[in-house]
Amino acid sequence: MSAVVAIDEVTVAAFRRGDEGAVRRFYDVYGRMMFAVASRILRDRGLAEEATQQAFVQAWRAASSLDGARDPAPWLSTIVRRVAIDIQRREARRPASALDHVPPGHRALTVLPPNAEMAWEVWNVRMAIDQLPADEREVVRLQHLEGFTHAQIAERLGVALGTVKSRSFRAHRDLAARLAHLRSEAG
Amino acid sequence: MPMPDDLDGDTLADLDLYLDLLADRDVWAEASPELSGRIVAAVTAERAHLAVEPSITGTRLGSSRLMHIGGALLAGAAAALLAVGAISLLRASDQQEVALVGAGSASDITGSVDVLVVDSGVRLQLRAAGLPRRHGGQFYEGWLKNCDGSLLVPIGTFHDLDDATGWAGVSLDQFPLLTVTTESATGPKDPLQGSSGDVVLTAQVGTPCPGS
Repeated sequence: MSAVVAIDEVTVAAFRRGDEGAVRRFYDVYGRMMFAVASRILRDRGLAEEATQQAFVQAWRAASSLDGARDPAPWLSTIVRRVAIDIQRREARRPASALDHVPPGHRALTVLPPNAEMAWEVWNVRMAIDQLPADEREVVRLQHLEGFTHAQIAERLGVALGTVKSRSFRAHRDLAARLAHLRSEAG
Repeated sequence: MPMPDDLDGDTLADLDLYLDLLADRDVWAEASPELSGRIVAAVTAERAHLAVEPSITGTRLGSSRLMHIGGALLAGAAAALLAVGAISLLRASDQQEVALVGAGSASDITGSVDVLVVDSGVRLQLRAAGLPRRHGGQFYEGWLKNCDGSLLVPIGTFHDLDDATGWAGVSLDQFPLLTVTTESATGPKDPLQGSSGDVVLTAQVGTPCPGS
């Protein structure tokens, strides 16, 4: 199983022509995942936006090679990863202060550029997150991103602990189902 | 973090591979709402740009081939090339260069901005040497402003202004003033405008406002 094909052939054809509505449709469907891949690589919102924008322009320029019957997601993931790595290299060439002054987590301390598999994992994790209902997504966000316990989430959201547990169960079950294909693709 | 304890082993194993990503702030990151408009404008500008470039290539190719083609074909091709060239000139004239003027703490800085108007908006390519590169949550942000200053439209965020390109999907007739401000990811902002108000560059990119 791969990503859901959310763009039809008519929209792909319109995208090739540079039709404004089709470009917006592509962004609505794929923009968040492209931005997540760029953000994960560049660790900087401004640079990630630059990468996403450049990737869209490159995708449009190469759209004649896009098979309208296939899911464009892997193709777009590859483009945005390459653009982000190019920007990462460009930024790495800029004069910088001594390494002692670089804060932990800064992209200058990243040793290797992310491989295609990692970018595809980021793409799919973000897509799986976005496909969750809003109330379940918020529980997952608070649990994994903020590190809250179920009890803390219940208190924060003002709902019963059992409600949080059931939302969490459904969300994780769905996330696992949506990400299971990555293991088979890798294996 | 607690995982639901009633998930089966395979499900937990599937998720275990991606826990780092689920806890990664960048995987959850949201782009600014303006990015969609900037991308549409960028693709539209690229389309217009390529419509000019192939016509130039076509002229060169045509010139070499014309020697091998009969007179009637030659006349027809020449007429077509002239028409394409005229269209190219018209499109190229949509771009203009205007001066960037330093303000506030950067009053000694000057530069230029190339303004390209396309179907869905405007591309602004800024060049201003001498401003320090900003990083670590500090950045520059470009804005288009209406005449009474009541509305700001963001065109992009930049770490430096050596060669920075911004986009906006609005008309320069309504938003003729360009400003560049210094911003901080955590700094104070005008709650209505989203800007710090610390202007370092300005330019008149549209028709001057009445009384200015």
